[in-house]
Amino acid sequence: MKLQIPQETSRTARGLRLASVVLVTLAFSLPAFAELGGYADSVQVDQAKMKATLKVTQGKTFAVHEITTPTKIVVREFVGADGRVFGVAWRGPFLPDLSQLLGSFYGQYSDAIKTEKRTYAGKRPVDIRQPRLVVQGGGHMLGHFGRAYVPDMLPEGVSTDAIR
Amino acid sequence: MRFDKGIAVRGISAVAVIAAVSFLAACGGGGGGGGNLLGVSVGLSASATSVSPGQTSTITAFTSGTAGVTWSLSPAVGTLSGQTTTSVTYTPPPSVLSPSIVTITATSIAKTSVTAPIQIGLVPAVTIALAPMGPQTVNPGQPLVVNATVAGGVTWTLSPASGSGTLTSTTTSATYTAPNAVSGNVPVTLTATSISNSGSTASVEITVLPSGAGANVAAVTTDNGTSTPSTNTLFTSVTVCAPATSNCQTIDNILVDTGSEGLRVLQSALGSLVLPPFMDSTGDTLNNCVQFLDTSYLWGPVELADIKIGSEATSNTLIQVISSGNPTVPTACSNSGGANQNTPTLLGANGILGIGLEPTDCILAGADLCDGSTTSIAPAYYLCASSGCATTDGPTTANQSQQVTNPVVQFGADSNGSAITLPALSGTAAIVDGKLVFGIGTKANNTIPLTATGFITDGSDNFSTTFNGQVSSASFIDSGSNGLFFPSTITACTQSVGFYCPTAVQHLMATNMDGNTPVDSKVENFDIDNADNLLLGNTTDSAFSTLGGPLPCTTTPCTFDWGLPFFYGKTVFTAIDGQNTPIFTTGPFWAY
Repeated sequence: MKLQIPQETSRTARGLRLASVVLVTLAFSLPAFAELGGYADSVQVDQAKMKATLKVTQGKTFAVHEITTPTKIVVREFVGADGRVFGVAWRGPFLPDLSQLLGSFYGQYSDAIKTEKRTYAGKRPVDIRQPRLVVQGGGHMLGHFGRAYVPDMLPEGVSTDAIR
Repeated sequence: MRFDKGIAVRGISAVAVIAAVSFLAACGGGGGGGGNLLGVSVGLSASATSVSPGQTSTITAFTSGTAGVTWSLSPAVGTLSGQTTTSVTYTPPPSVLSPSIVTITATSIAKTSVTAPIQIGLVPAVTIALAPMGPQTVNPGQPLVVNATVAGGVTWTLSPASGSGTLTSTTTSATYTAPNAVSGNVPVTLTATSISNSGSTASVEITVLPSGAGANVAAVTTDNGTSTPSTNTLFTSVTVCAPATSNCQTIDNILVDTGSEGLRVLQSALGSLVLPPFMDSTGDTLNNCVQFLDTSYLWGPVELADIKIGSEATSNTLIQVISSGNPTVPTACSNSGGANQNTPTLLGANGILGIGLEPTDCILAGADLCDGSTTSIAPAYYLCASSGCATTDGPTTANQSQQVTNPVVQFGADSNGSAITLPALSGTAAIVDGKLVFGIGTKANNTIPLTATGFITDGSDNFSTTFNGQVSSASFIDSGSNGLFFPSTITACTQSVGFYCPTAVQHLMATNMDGNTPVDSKVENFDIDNADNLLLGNTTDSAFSTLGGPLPCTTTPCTFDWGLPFFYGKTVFTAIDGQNTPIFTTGPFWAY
């Protein structure tokens, strides 16, 4: 199922206030997450017949697609004017499917985390900062949060503080 | 753990006397006749007639004359040292693969044709594996089960032999019971000695805490007794038993974690103990998955166990046993990547004791996230054939009575929560010992003091921390985090990744408030030091009061993670969701 992005929030719309909100509820579709670095359009296939909500907030330079999964994980995808996802953030009682969410960057993330010396039992926060990939997050049992973004894909003038 | 493979044999444990005597008819020189009978004799004794690598044997010669002897070794296996004309020390090679014999020969200096041999048996060393391994602490009257694994079994001894408690044992297991009352800390050494090779021993150092600590108290420590110190990791010991049996295993190096719920132990740490799996009527077994952002996860069956911590006990508690080896893990669990943290090295502990704000690992502020009532099926529980799961197996629903359970809620009168007390620490320390007290306001030793402030948590089990003008309303207290992690512009380390590395110690201040409706607040002063300076090359310290790291605002709201440094110098109460506490209120809340 295609994401129903209303006309006024399309990429070509101009003069919109930042954080103008358009809410779309997809009663019977669960879009798979768009993967980091991929096109937001890639999520428009509904594979699981479960309830999910999608909220699209169109700003001047990027759009935020907020997906709430059936397991109450909220994933926010930051989509640039080129339609590509330059950042993702998540919060919820469980982790999202990171391999899907990070997409082609997953291997890089997995390698980065392995180079850390981690002989520590527990949930120390993750703080990976590489030129092409930043992954950060933490939390406690039933309370996870984090984000990942590709620094050189950030739209001009957009602060990393916006990715949350 | 202390292996005593190389103890010196004290005293003369074996004496072998071999005499070589030569009667010589002296040839008459010139002059007077008559035979002059001169007897030269050499006798030997050995301090040990069999040795293992790490041991030595001292051989002493008794000669009839004053000239003494010289020494030789055949075959040339091992070494002779400290040679004098009356004694020598034999040291076997570092490794003896199979039993063999060497002969040490003393040759009379006065008469080289007079020799005396002595045979020394070489016995392969045996390594006794003890569980638990590290230093143990027990309360007065509390039992401690120690298991030994070595071919042929062991005998057990307690030192000091009197006044240090009682011991009942078999050749594979010992149950030490501490004295009912002690004044001050009492150190006790429990030693296992190989029956087949008395030279091989292994010991567990036990400290009996003084009376007054209370039956609801477990000892906690930042030092796990291994050669590489850990970093702000709080450990305790837990005894796990097959339900309603005396088949038990005491497991040390269990991480005390107020940021999670339920006991999770490595399968390998259970040794030979087999626990019954939790299964449905068709024989399918329930498995549990815990995912972490660092791409690791914990996977393994839900099993039933009686749990003993301090003198608190539960029966038929659901725990997770983290599978050893390479079990097939459903993709829905392994899709966080990484690997099952199923060894002591990977996990950094032998298990995790989750004693957080919730009664199970799937209840959040009263909502059950795994029974299907509030979410679709959470990726936490998997029902699989007893032969194992398939990668394609999807998660299943599990209600509260089927979920891995915070053991505290089953501690009878002390089921409403717990408190961790650690002494104050300024900087670093080799070790910090403290206590974990169960129950809140249930006994004289667990009353919330009037000076404490309680903080009610919100629907996500968080409260609010204001630091540097920024409100982080998704903050939490977590003994399982090894630093203070928070959003800041302090320089992050390049070497000690994940920590802060300011050029000078930062003296900071934050204010904690209730989760939903701020009523109470408390100012917290803390310092952050350079983690590279604290950690790199530091092989002695396990406790760090000034360790912190970045936790950027990755989502709104932001988070301040008050890890173990927060606990130094405090008693921090963790009150469990839905449990009543005297005076204060119903959990979940923290108080300190």
